[in-house]
Amino acid sequence: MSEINRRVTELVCDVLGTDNFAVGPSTPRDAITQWDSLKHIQVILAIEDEFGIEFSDVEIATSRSIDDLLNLIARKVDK
Amino acid sequence: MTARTFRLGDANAESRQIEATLPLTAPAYHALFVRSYTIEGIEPYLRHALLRLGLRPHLAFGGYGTFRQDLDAISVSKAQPPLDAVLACWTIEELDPDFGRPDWTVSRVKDELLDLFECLDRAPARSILVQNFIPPFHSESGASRDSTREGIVHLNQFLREEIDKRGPRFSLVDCARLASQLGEEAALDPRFWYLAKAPYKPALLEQMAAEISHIARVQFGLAKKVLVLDCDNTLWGGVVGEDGLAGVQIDGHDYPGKAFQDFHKAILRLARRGIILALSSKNDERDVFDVLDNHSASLLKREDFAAWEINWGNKADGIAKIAQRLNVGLESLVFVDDSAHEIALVRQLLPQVTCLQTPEKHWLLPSFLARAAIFDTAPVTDEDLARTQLYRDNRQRELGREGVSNLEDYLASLQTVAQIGEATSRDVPRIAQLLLKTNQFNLTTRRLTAHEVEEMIASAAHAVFALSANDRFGDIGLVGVMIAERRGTVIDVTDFLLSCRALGRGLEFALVCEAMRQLISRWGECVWRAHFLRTLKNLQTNTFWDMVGFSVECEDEHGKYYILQGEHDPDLMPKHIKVIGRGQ
Repeated sequence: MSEINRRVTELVCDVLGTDNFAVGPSTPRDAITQWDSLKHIQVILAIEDEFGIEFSDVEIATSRSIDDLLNLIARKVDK
Repeated sequence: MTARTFRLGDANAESRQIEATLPLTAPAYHALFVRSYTIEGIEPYLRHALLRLGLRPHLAFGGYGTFRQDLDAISVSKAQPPLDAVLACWTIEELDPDFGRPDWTVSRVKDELLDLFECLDRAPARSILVQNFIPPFHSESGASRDSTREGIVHLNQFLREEIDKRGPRFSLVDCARLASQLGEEAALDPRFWYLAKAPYKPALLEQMAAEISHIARVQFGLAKKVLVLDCDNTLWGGVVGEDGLAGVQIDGHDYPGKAFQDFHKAILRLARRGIILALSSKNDERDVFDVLDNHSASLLKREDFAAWEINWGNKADGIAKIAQRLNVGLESLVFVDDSAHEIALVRQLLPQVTCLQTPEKHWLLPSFLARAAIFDTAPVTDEDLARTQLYRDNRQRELGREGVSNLEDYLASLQTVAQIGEATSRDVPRIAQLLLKTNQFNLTTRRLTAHEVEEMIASAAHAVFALSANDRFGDIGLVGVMIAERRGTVIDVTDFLLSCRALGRGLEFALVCEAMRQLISRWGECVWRAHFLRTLKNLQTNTFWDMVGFSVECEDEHGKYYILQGEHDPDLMPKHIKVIGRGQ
């Protein structure tokens, strides 16, 4: 698991109050009961804070899994 | 203001770490947010701040805009355990949908707030925290009057007045100040406001959490009590031993003298709020007092200090002696010094002491303690205003002790008079303060609020006794409290404490004897029950009830449960104390 992957997974699990094993990188957030729209904001805020980036409204709405978030982070951190 | 203290990931990691090692006895902090917007983002920051205080957080959030229903629900359910805090978080938009229209006025928001304050006032919570509104960062009308901004400022003033009017249970979470310190960019998040009704960025949420934890710090008796100050290059520029009285920089018309003099003013404002001042300096004592006594520009004077250690010994030893002399725990001390070396040494040898190094830039010195936000504001009582004098009288008593070889003779020479009787509502602020702050001689360490004490005074099933004392050196003030509850033929002593500045002269026995005597004449012969609940600091009271004549009925990991059928030890009342009624 890459360093970024590890940090993101940990943040998501922190926000959701779940342990690492329950959330896989491609698990869609619809399938995770704790990951409701409110928690999604907190996930986004935590990631923005951790990596010093900002998501657009469309990106927030369309990110549906840890993999989606990792792709967005990779694009933004590279720039 | 530094933008962020903790990244969320680091805060969470530290929270997990503290939680894993938190003792079982750590007090819980139950809080309910009643709110009109998404405030859940504050949770990790508030958890972190509370855990760092040694409190175990239990945070809950009400529905959007359902203030009344949520507050009714806790009143009906008589929440057990009772809530430590209810936090009201609101935005003007949610209180009045017309906000922002050209003809908007404050009247509807004011009516709504007034009604919500009535609901909050009825809520069974030990503290009520209310946020204010953030005025706009920009003006739409340029230099001409901005009625929206004026309206918001007016509403904030209104909130302040309502909070003050409703007594010490209410506190303000000053979001307007926090947001202006951070600036618009760091504080507000219009994106999430429109997407998810979450108006604040993490930096502001973190600062709000810090403010809330400061209020909790006072509520749980964890506030700092003593400020220990270095002298050279802290209270004045230069080294008095080398530069002499005329050489030190403290003059109000000079730089850096004026910065040091303004620092004196800031320290005196703290003393006025009841913070005890002490000195720790590597110097000859007469040089330091030469400045304090004789330098006309020194606003701080010898009388402002309750204790000092001025010598060439190590500062950690000196600070430990100061704590001992003032009868306070090391964790109530804040030590301020310009030397990184001294700070590091004290931090290492006395990790319980909060150590602050003064800024190298002298112009930052006057605001330095305010920025550290280390001394919390609780409502100021008359006792606070006189505290340093009270501690100085104690020093006289200590010195007096050295002249009398026999302890009994010494105690007799003090001519102590104790006024013991049932408390009145006038005593409530001081009693609530003692319940909050007393750690050492406190048998059950129950942190009752002023509101709860007031209710007990009014209740026929409770009796609240207060002890005030004076002696030939001066007034000692209200220093003892005993609270008893009657259940059938049982009288349960639920609270018993003595302020640390009154220890060592038997006042605790005078209080228990006289209060028991008065209770028997009020309620008749009864079975007595009492408790000793163990904390990290009250070990000295471990055998108090045994000495009174109680016997242990059972014992568990929390403490000991006592019973007494009949009378207390007949020799209990100290002969050197004269007991009179209160108000005599």
